[in-house]
Amino acid sequence: MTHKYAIEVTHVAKKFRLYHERSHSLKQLLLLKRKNLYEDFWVLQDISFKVEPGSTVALVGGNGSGKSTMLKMIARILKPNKGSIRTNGRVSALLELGAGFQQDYTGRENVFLNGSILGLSTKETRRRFDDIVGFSELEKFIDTPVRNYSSGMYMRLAFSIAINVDPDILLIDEVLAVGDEAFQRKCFDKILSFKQQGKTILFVSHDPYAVRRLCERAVLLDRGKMAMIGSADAVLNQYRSLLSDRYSAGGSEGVDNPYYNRFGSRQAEITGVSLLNGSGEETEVIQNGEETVIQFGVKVHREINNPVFGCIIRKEEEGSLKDVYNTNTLWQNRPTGSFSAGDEFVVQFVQPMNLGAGIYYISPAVASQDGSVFYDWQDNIRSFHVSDDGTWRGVSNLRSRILIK
Amino acid sequence: MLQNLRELYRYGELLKNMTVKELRVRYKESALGFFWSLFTPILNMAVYTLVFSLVLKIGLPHYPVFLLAGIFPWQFFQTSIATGCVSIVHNGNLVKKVYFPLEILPLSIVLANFVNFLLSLLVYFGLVLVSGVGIHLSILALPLILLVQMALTTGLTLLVAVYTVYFRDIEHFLGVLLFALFYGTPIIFTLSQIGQYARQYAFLFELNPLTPIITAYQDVLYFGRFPDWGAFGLTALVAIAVLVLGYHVFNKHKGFLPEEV
Repeated sequence: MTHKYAIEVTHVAKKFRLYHERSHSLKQLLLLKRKNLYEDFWVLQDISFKVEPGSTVALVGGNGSGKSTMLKMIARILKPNKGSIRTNGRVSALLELGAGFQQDYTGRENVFLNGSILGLSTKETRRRFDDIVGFSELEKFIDTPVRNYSSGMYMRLAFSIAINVDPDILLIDEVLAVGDEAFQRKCFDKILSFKQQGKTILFVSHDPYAVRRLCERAVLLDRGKMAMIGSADAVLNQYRSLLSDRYSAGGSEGVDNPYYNRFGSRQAEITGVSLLNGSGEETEVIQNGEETVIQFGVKVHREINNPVFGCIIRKEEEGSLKDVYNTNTLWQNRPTGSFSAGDEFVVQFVQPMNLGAGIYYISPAVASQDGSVFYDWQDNIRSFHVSDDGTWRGVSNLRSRILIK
Repeated sequence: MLQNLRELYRYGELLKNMTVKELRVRYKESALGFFWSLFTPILNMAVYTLVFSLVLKIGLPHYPVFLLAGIFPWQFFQTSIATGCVSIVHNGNLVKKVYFPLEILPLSIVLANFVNFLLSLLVYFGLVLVSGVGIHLSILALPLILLVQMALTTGLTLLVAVYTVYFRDIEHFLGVLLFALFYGTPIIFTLSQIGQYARQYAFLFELNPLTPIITAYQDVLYFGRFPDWGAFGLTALVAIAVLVLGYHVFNKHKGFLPEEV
């Protein structure tokens, strides 16, 4: 008898069509040859790995590495163009919570509708109903239409349904980054208990802390190719050095987050943005309170006198960004000196990262003396996570000492 | 195909739940609920009665009853196609994030419209009894006609639902096409009247696969006679072929729909 893997991915490749114009209408079809309408773009090429039943494996990689696409293919939402994927057991994917919720339905009705979307029969949902509601802590609101729910309640219900499908294989795509901290922790504990029950978990994340805590093994994807497969620690180390090579090489090439925007006269240019943790290593995840260096290179093309260097940190909240911290050399009354064409140097913003858990974006900028002309502003060029230690909640750590007198 | 059908069967409860959802969402928070879906055909009937029976003097007794015998099934067909064609594109978020047999989206729309249609038939029977047209033995053929129309409607809805994902224009094009098709189907007049007054165009009506279906409804519901089995049988074959084709095309494409939506 051959060994049965929980997940078996064999030489999988996936291409997407990039349409030159988003609207593909009959008119375009008639006017243009079909091949001019789109380009094929391979997001994943020749991916093979196997997951043993009962193991927890992380899928690690930067933005655009194809890890989410891989997960969607294992969940059968997308079909590979080449190769094959085999799964053994019931698969449940936590890709987006609450997809398919009906605003006018009550919580109870949504449990049944969503349960059947996730493949449960009414009988199975009924059997799990108390667990679902119990976990979500929404007993009081279960007969209220979900349109009256707060986004936190909505997420809680959605997660409770998805996790109570009781799958053999659980696919998780960074959903833990949503919801409030308390609920995030609860989800994490639930996933840990899954692991203890001997279920198979495939976990997409770029949070090394979560990966280390959950996973023994990891698969590293880099720009659609298999870069490494091995122990979680080894893969995370490889990932870190990959990141540091990538970002120190500089430029905006490969930046693919939707918030990214660049403008300026380019009299001076920002050449690379790094984020260094307390030990001076390139990272994407900062522990709350950790001494952090935001560093960017500047290359001068035409002489500049006393330029302003600035950096904005924004937090991602429900699909938009909000400023949380903004400072520059002008406001701090700090002279910066004169630079001539060809000069290259590094600017560092050093601070303890006293921010709450979440996803943040960095926007470095170089501007003229009075801040009126921007030489180079790379808006939201890269993101990082802050993970917390569980001793506080909110937006900023005030480091309260609690005295009892 | 067998494997797809087996999977669809496993997701039977989802199909049921989505159908109920369709019906509920349509009538949410309206006090008259289902009666709104009767309102449109009855209003149409009133207008056509005014124009064709009083102004143009189409000589059919109980003309409003005749009209409804065609308008109710037409409404089932038309609404299924028109709303079914956007069933995938309007559920993009669901389609991209959860795996389930996607045919459930168009199928639930057809089923919801079918339930609606059956309810309106009940109203129709009331009207038939009140007006004195009466119910005849030919009513026994009704389930068969319903089945054939269901097959044709389902097949076409599956086809337009897939192709609308690739070409969004289909949604608008269908609006125009369905408007024209309404007048290309003997709904406000009988097929024999076409033969009488516009012989040269009669072939257009005969090419329309809906013609024998609508005519069959009028036969069993209004005239109290069995349908013309020859023409109806041919349409039944077409309907089955369209259903098989629609299901086949849908399954061929469904794995790639989430990335195209």
